[in-house]
Amino acid sequence: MSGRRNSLLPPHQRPVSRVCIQRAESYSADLVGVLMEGLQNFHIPVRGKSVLLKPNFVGLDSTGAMNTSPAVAGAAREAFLRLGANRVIVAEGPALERDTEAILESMRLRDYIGSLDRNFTDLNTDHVCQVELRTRASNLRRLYLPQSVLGADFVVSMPKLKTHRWAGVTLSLKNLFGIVPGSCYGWPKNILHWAQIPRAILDIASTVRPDFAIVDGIVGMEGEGPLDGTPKKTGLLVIGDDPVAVDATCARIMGIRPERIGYLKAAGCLLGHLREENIRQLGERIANAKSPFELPAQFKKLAEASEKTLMKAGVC
Amino acid sequence: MVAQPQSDGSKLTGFETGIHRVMLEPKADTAGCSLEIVGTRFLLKSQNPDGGWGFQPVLSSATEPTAWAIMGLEAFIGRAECRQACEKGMAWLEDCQLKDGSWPAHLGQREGCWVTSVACLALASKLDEGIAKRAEVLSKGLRWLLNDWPGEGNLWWRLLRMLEGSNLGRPRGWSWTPGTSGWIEPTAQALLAVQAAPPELYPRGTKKRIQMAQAMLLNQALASGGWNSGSSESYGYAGRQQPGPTSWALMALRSQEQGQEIAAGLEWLQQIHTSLNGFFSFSLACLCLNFWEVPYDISRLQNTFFTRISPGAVMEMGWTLLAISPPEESPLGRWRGLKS
Repeated sequence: MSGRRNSLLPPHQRPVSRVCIQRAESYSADLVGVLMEGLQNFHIPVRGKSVLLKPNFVGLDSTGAMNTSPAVAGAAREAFLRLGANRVIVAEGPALERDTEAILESMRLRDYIGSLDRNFTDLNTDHVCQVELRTRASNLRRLYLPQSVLGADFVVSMPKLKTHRWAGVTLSLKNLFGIVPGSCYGWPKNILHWAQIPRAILDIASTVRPDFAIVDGIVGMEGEGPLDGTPKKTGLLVIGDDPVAVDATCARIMGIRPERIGYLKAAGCLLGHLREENIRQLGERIANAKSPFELPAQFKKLAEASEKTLMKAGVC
Repeated sequence: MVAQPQSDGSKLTGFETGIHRVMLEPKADTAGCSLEIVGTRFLLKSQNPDGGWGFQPVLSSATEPTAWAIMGLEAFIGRAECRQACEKGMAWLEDCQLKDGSWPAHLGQREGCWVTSVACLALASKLDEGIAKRAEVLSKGLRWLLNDWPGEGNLWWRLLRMLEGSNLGRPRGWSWTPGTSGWIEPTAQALLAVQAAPPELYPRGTKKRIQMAQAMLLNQALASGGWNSGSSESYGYAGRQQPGPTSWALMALRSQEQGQEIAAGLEWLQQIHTSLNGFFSFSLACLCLNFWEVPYDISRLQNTFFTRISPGAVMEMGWTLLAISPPEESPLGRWRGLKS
């Protein structure tokens, strides 16, 4: 990792984070324009640098609600090139389907980013280096991680806005599971499940520290995500340079209290801001963007309830 | 990992390695060539100086692609250059074995994993040459495999399930990495490796483990035909068939009577293989169908090869060579105990 800027700091030592919520009604909108407008709110030091975009390409996606849209990945690539990046690659290591090419072909990714040979890296089969994890939330301690990620100057996590039946939500932090190489850990990367998903998310996020997050919520997934849910249109892109704050904002948009998601709450202690008062919202206001998601059966408790109900339950 | 030296003496490191790709051959060079020529030439050219192969020609050597490249080239062992490349590859594989008998995914790693099965399969396929050292290497590998139980077999796990009232009688297979859950692909690959080895090298308990793994695979077959990577059902949702796990499970069950599960799986794979758009799944499906001596669309394999600019995939080339070779003359024919 080339001097990732974000260090592990408690919230009171961090400056206020900024998250920008932008409207994009469909994937045929001018997504480059929308992203350029949003990115101008941030200091993004990518001139002359290498940028790695990590989307969430889970598998063959017949509904368009499972994978980050290739249109968003392509628009982000173009936007970072316009900001002066020397090189921008899209990189992913799908967790369930070993045939990455089949996924990319089914999404027609090359129509959006050009040559896959030059602009895409399969993180499942990349060079790997053993890395000591920076936290000990799980018992993993160290992992082999792809050199493409470790060597990139600027890493952008680009998840889909989805519910997740084991983690509650899958956003920019959970999306980092995709960088763990299948060539070392298999398909799925079952070692992360045995280490307990929320704990593994924390350890990987604290070690990789993505510099930026762009969440594709134009069409997300609700219900039994990340695979068996139903499409949910919100018409939003949520971006920011604090992935924890971006995920917390997304959760609020989905009608979920972020502090009730264990790994997000813990991430809010060291990795970024979780509390609303520490996040400056740009673009759309959360109240206007809110679009409650149907939650997986075992995560109904995450939903926002009235203050009265919460006080009664002794939560507030 | 050590980055591969480039022709200009420089090395690819970090970010560069991820975006650097080697083109297979310009179209003009492959036009009119047979699959055998294109495939063997590709594998010969992409062998690393250390004798192994990487997942892509530019990447450093790893166990899985090395084992499949060896087996692919061995299908054409009559050619001197293929024989030499196989020997070099086999030496790399033998050197890469860890003290406990397992193989790591990449050279330099200290923990073994499921690729041990693939390495054992490559060794078992070349055992005919009667090298004593190779039999010892294989024997150590088999011992590790037989001692490698998935995490759901451990006492703590069984106690928890017992308290939940869950069924403990589910047959166990093999996991991707030690101590995690059993999955279809590692189970099938371990089963292939063990069955391909000569029975005189079997550690104690091998036959029971073979039966258990076969039962696990048959148990997880989907009602609609084929296999998913894991359970046939999860959280009330039926698993979706996947070509990879289906191909592996079918190959591992080659010694079985062709019951309902196998017939349905073969039928599904034969039906869908012409619509697969990834070289990985397609070449693997062709290998499986060839192993079962079921017709497959060779012309599509030809087109896939000749129209792609850069498949750049070593394992897929190995599978392709195995898929186009007559089973009796290739490693497939030598996988002992696998033919019913």
